[in-house]
Amino acid sequence: MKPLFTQLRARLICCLALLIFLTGPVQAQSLERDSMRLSSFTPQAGPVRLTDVASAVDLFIPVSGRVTMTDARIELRFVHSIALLAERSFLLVRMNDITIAQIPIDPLQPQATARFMIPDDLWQSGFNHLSIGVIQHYTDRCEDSLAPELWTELDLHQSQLEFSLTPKDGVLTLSHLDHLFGPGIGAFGRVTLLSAGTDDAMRGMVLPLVAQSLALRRRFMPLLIDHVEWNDPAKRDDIPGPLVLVATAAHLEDLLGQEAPAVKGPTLNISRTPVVTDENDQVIMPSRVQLIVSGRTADEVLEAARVLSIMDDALNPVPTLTVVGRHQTPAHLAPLARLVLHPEQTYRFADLGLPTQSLRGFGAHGAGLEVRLPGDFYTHDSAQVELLLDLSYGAGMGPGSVINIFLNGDFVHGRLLDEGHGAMFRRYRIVLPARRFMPGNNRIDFEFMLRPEVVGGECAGVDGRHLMAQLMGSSTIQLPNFGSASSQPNLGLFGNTGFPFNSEQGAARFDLLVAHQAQFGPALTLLGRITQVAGAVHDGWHLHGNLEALPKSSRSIVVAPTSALPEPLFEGWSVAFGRVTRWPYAAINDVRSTTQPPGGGFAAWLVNSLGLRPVPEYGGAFDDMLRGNVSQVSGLGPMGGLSLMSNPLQGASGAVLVVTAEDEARLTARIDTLIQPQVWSQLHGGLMLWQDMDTPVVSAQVVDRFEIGDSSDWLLLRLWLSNNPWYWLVLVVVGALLVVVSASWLLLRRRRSLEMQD
Amino acid sequence: MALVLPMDATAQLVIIIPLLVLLSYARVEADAKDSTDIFRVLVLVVGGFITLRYLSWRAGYTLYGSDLFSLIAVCLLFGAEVYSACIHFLGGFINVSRISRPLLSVDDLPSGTQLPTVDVMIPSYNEDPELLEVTLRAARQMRYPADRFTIYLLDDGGTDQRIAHGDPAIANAARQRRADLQALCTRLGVTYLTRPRNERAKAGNLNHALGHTQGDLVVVLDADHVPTVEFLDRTVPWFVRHDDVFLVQTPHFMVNPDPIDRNMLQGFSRMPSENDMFYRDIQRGLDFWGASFFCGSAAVLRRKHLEEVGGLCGDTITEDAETAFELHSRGYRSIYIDRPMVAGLAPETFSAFITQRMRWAQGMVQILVLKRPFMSPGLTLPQRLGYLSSIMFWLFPFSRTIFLVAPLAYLIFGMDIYNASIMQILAYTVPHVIATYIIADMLYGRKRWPLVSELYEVMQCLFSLVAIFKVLLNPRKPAFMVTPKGETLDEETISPLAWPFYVLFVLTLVGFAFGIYRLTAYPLTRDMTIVVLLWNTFNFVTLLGAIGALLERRQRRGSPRMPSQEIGMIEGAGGSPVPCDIMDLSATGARLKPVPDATNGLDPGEKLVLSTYSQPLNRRVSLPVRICSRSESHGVELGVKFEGMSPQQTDDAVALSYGDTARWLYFQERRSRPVSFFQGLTMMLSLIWRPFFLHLRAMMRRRSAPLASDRGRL
Repeated sequence: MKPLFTQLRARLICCLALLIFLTGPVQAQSLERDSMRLSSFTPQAGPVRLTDVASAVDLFIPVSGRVTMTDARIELRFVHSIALLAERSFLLVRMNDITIAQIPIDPLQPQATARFMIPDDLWQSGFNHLSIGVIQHYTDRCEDSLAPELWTELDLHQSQLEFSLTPKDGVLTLSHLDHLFGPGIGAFGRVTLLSAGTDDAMRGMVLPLVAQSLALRRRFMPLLIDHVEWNDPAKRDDIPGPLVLVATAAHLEDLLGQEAPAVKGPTLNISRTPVVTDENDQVIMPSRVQLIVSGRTADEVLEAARVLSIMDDALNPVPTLTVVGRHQTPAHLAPLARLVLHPEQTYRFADLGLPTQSLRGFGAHGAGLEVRLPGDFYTHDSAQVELLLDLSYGAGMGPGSVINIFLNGDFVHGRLLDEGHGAMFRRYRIVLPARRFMPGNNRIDFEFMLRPEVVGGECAGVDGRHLMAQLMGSSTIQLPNFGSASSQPNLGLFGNTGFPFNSEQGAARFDLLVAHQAQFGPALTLLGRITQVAGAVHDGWHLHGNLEALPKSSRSIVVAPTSALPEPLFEGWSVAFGRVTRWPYAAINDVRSTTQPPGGGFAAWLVNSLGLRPVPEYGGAFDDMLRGNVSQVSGLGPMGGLSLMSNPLQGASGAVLVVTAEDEARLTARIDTLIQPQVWSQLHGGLMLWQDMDTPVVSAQVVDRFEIGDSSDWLLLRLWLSNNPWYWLVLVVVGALLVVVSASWLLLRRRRSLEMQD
Repeated sequence: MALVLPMDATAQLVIIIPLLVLLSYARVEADAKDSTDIFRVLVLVVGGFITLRYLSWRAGYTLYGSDLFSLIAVCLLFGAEVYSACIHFLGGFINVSRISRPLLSVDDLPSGTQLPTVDVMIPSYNEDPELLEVTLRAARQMRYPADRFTIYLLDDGGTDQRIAHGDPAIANAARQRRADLQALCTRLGVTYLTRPRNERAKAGNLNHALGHTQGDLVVVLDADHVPTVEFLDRTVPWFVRHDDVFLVQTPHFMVNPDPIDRNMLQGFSRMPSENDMFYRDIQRGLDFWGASFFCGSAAVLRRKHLEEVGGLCGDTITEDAETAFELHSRGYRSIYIDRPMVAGLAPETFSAFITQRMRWAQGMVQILVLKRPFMSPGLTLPQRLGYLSSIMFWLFPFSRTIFLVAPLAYLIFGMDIYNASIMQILAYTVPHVIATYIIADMLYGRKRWPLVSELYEVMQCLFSLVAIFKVLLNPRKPAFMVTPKGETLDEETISPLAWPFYVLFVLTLVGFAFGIYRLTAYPLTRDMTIVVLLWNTFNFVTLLGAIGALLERRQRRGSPRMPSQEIGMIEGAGGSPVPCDIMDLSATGARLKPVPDATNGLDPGEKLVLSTYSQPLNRRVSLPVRICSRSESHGVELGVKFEGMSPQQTDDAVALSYGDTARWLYFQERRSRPVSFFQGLTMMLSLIWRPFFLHLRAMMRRRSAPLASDRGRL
């Protein structure tokens, strides 16, 4: 037995060795197996409830062009009504409009899990449309299509998409950047920037541009950015993942030697690095994607980075481009100006991404209009936004047919669709108070409920296929005059728009300050996330390796461990990080008046009694509030800290965002967590503490307020006085008294003169 | 605007509360006895700021419309508000401080002073000789050296032109009138003057008389304006002391209620008269700024100055204000004496009232268009503002009509006439309304009770609006229309001018119906609908009052009686004298209250002699009377008529009833009392219903009368 056992063991070892030998290169190609929750592909929180006879939920699954998706399976968990009829009820799954699964429903087993495959050939680069619908009935006879028994609930959080990814080979071109750093599955979520040389000025401007450019390509997906100072050629070989080399041509030649591309001006080049092997030809670092941002001079490098931030990747199916010129009119505007709507302008819905919507058939239909306003959108409280709708609906509408219009989820207008022969409206006017629009992103939802006429008799109902409504793309939205002013801190606004760290003005300068160059990576990661929410790169960021520029900067982000933060930075502020920590504990701070009229007391009672709602974002009077803080020696522990405040070192108009943690390692980890959607979406108030994605976030509204604005002193004054009306009252009373004294003196003179005459 | 609106509505709402508190405090202090002008100015400045703030908000943020018609409606409403605010500001400026001139007397002039000669001119056109006789007799008894004043009756009803009129009836009447009045003048020792042609109406009549007289001073008295004995004594010294004074004006004190007062308010003896606000407050304010003007009667003018401008001006049909304007422009001064020394008659019927007011409105607009007093280089700035205020007031029909119709435009036609949220209404509109009320209450509170102005304006606006438009189209066309005075009404009757108010009333009711529909059908605009419904309710209340006032009550007494505080004795043919209180008194009769234990034998038909002490004559007078009625509801009261009087006794009766300024002063002061807004509102709400239902009953009666006569014929 022993020789046989020995023989078998030897064969087994040979087989394993062969297997290892054969699979070695394949591992280098990385056949990854991964899974994701289906809830990742929908913004809807919680279970999805499908009601009525037929309804569906749409998921959009992005896939990077860098990889091929194979062997994808879906495990779908759902619960359904026990009243459903087994023979006529089933789930219907469609992938890119192809039906891939029909899952029967068993009323005896209301909780079920279905597993099915998605054919490999149905996947395509970009967004894939996965529709999970249900057809459900509870009787064979006449059926109320809206009966409450008709429901199925999908638990998308517990449902999984499992898949394998195979990287694609082929020559890299700049047009692949969109896939490599896009939001799809398989794209890079981490990148390392290598900057060569000692030109801090060039690096300080180029690195933010590059970080923003790449993060913007990721759209809403986080991008972790590392930074390495690249002065040793071998350093590049130690870094896994994609690389971005930022260097002048001379430095590239020094560091890459023969491998350096020819640089004849501002240059962008994409390629793969050679595979790194050891002396035994063992692969110690596989080939990686490498993007080079270069030029002959520092200015040319900067120009290359600028082009990277604005270029359409699809128009560059080449590995290298050299910029010979760039032109923009008007030159003073930043790309953000193209994304936000402007005062006193009228926009067609079609131009805002809502072309004519034809809504057919029975049930609820919706269309949404995205209205993006500047982050510092501020207008007077009498200003109005005017919607002029071109809409129509067809004949045969029954009771309950309505159109409801919502602004940011709040109902603002409704209308019965009660003309039996249909109706058409041109320039249907709806006036909304401009103050109901928030700075940043707004959404106007048009919800149509189409129902057929009621016909008497059993089973005589009209199915509603004839129902039709249209919302035309020619409808318009007209904005009032507005200016730039904002009451801060408002981390919610910051989280949604990046404000106050973006601008429509190209000349606006922002500073990204770190205590040490080791924090460049986390700082750039944070900047990338800000760019994503802003939706545009801003060419005005300066990255500093120290905090010396803080007193001169009007808008700055400070990324530093607590020990490196200067104490004067927190002077006069309720929050302080550093050797001594200062907290505005809720017990001694009353921030409720942000939702109450200024002054409280009778006015508050009056406004509240009448059901009037002041706009919280524009602040209230804080004079009467309880204020206080506690200074303590404690520290942040494992938490990261973030606070937005006015910059006492710079002056009244400065704003500074402080991001900190106890030490550098924690700071990096906390920022990596911060940019995750689960944490980022919880930005709120003026102060936030967080740890990791599983630990609850702590956020608070601090009582300290300040106003910032760019264009109009008048608006800023208005904003300030709205928050501090008593100053105005004092001014009015003093002015009135001066007039009264002067007028009384003149009257007295006149009276005496008359008496003298008499 | 930047100074007024630097904050949002919520903050505005917050700061307005302390401002209103300050305003209210200053208002209370302004009435304090030892108060100086400082609190009045404070009220005006703070209230003005609140109004300015409101207008800035309206102008900056609410003037838009969904369509052209809405936009026009919005602009018209705003225009009406701006106009009202201008009147408000001008009124505040004019009335910020008032002057009370010292009482001068001829007796106080240095001895040896040569008193000026005075021509007392009483122009007449169609007034009854009986009415004129009272005025002439009273004028004769004015305290002034008899050789220094002459009385002229200027008869325009008996001119050569009228006597030669193509219509024999008119010619005969004119001839008869001339003869009657010449006889009257001969009997009273008054000079009768007439002229060949009726040119330029009253101004022409007076100018003609100026050419035939030589007195240094000219007194103008309307035919129904009866002077007290001290009229010349109190006015002439101003001319002696100041060479640059061209005018001394005194109030027109009315001894009967105007038709709105009589038909609806019924508060003649309790409530300030409608013209009290002008004569007791505004003229004093104008006088402070040297801008009090001639009101056509009850005034003394200096001939020398009049001749400089060619006599009384006649380019407009308000020759009085026009003449004052011309002389003010030459740098001469006017004096206003707030002492009722002339008693007149208000128009008795609504038609006469409207005729009078349309003439005033047209005349003032003529001055505005033809003379442009606000640009006159000879006037000081306060004088310009004074004239502007006096003239612009008469444009109120524009604003009042718009305020009546505007809520209907929203309720019935759905026009967005007032683009504001409820928060903004609370922050801007409500404080503005409160501030306006507080200012008006401070300036005129004792002389004009809440809602009275609105009622009078509503009743005039439709007619005056048409009249003003005619002036604007042709400024020189309007002709002088004499206000009928001394009319009597034998029975209650509905004014022939009532129908426009029926239309408005029905429209207001329709507005309510639409408003209720809007409340249910348009929940999103419910706030605004409620606000407009409240506004419509206000209009409804004023229209109710207007319709009530359009039922003309009976008016049988041609010579109104005024309250009296005198005591007297009545003596029969055989009995002993009985003391009595004289409750009221006129030139033709009185109401007496004898002491309770001596009323036997005092029955209707009984002839008695009433003797009492006459303050104006400074002696006792005895007048023969006949008892016409006896009532015992408040103790025994006797209605007596003066009968069988000699000429001297007739003079005594006139002096007793009209010659005493103190009686008018007492009466004025008795009814000058302030009431709060809510008191005024309550009083108005309690008063409007009965006249309104009486009006409805009269309408029903009028409808049923033809039916009954038809049935009778059948």
